[in-house]
Amino acid sequence: MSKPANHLPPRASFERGGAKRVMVDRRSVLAGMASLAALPAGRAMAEAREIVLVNWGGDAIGYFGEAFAEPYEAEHGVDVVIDGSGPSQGKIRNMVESGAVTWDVCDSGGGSSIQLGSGGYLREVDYSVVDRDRLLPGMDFRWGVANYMYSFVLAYDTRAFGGDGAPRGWADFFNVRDFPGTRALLKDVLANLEVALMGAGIPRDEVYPITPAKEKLAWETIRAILPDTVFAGTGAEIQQLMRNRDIVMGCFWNTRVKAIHEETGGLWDWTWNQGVVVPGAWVVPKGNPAGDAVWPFIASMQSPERQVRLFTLFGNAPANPQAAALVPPALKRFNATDPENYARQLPIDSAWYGENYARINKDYIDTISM
Amino acid sequence: MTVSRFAVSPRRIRRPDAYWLLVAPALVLIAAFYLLPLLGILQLSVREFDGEGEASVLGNYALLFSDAGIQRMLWRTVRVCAITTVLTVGFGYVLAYAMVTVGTRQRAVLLSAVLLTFWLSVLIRAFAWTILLGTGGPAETVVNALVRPFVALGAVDAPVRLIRTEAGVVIGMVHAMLPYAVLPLFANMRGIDRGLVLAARGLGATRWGAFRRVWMPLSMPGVIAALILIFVFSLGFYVTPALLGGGKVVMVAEYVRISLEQTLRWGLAAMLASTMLIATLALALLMGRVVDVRTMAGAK
Repeated sequence: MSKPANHLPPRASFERGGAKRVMVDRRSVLAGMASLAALPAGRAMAEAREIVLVNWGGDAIGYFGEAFAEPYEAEHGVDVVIDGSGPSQGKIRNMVESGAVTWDVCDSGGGSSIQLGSGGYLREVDYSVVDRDRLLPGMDFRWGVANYMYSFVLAYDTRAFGGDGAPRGWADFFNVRDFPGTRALLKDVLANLEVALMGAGIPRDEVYPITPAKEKLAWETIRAILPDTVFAGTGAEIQQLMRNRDIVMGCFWNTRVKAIHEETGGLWDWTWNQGVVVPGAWVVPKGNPAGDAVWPFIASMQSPERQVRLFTLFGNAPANPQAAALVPPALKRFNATDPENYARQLPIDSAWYGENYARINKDYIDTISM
Repeated sequence: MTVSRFAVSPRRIRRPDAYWLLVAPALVLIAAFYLLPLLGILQLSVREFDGEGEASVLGNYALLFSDAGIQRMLWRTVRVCAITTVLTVGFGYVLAYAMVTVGTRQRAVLLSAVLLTFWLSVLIRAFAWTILLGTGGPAETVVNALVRPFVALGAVDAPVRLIRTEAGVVIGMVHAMLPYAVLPLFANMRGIDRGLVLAARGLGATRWGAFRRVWMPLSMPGVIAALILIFVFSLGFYVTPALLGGGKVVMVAEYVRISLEQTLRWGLAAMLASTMLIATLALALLMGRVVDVRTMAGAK
């Protein structure tokens, strides 16, 4: 973008005159275009000793680098490059279909790994290298490995509901009479279906299996609070809603809630009660340039120390259950996978989302849009 | 006169060939980088069926008639865009009229005010509106003061919220679209001979009569062009509804993004995009029937 595609030094182009100069110019431009077209393939060949890890950008680039990339580079002499461009399902599918894969390890989700994997866009995980024992039960997917965990928790403004008046679970969230004020949900269905069912009074251990009747109940529950609800799309929007006091409570990622909790000196708080725990998952696109070199790298990220490092930097809870004991006591209350917090929450059924996400997300969008 | 005409006409016959040679590279580029991908989208919309039930060639298009959610979303899009278009062209007309009638200095001020918003990023403007329209913000305070008498009568629910409502989306979109209406209207009105209005006045027309019977008909091509231009642009709006709509005003552009990025329903996304394209082409054809496009584009 910054440099025009003119390979001729200024003096050379000055010496050549008229039509001839035009010819040379055109040839060099054509050569430049050809090298551009060859770029993806060329890069993949040249950088086989490099692993490209893709996450969602922002502060996460530096934190993932410090927790995972730097120690691995030091141990194995393999360059790990962090790319923060956001490995959405659409981008992964596009990359694999166009045959120009430049990503190796992508920060995706449990359900997404199943959706993408069954579509034929991902490599199956090599569990002879990656360790199943270093994962919580059910977090070893066919096309993905849980890399960290996060939760959808009930966050609330203590100035609106302090002390004994604080909401204790989703039934309170959906009770606009006793807990008045605007609340917020995310624009994506993930976990909101479960949240609505618990809000309708279904006990945590009876949320699954999801049936058509339960889906209907969930949409009715959400529809009932629509006039009092706004829907956020991004993490920045979530934080703005809490910071501006546009809302009194919300169902948000615990990492964002933690950030606002610390920023406001505890004015915003949350409960782990009935939180919905969701795995982030490493996935590997088919035809990734680094090949099998990704598996030892993913295995290295299962190290409890490295996962605790990421947790203390960024708030993403360790996916390896052995890590909880290493979390400093003062930080335990922020850890979604701390045994005490985990026991109060509902682990999400990723397999169900892998099969039903497209349909259920459409129903959710149709429900929340007026 | 006659001689010069003869001298010109042979050249006129030869000219088109040379022009085509000049235009050819651009046409090839457009075909390669614009038309081919477009055909790919059209093909995707019939090849990949994402709904439930039996897959068929036109399965995605059948959703337009069978899926209540998609229908509601499309109607919402059309409704919001129509309201935005009418308001934008209404404000734009007044502003453009003011710009051709005031003195040079005032015109420069008005023009720079319009251009300034034109140059600001849509994202920044949408964020600015989230502050202006926000809970307890200036706009909400003013509106609520204005509607207080109606609240007492029970005609309006209090307090009125602007942010994260359809009204907020329309306000943000009108603001973003205004330059696109003012500039063509201004160009059109500058071309109108104001002597005609003076002549009408001289022949005894009232001020309003001269405006209605002389100025308005002459400015109509600009108005219709602006209406269609704004409507087509509004259809593709993404940032403003996403930010000001509070997630509840989901319009077609965001629906397409969700289908592409998250739910991987590419066939559905391609169908919606193709439908928008066909609707836009139909509007362009309509515009061709109502106004002389070549005059409007300055080719004549």
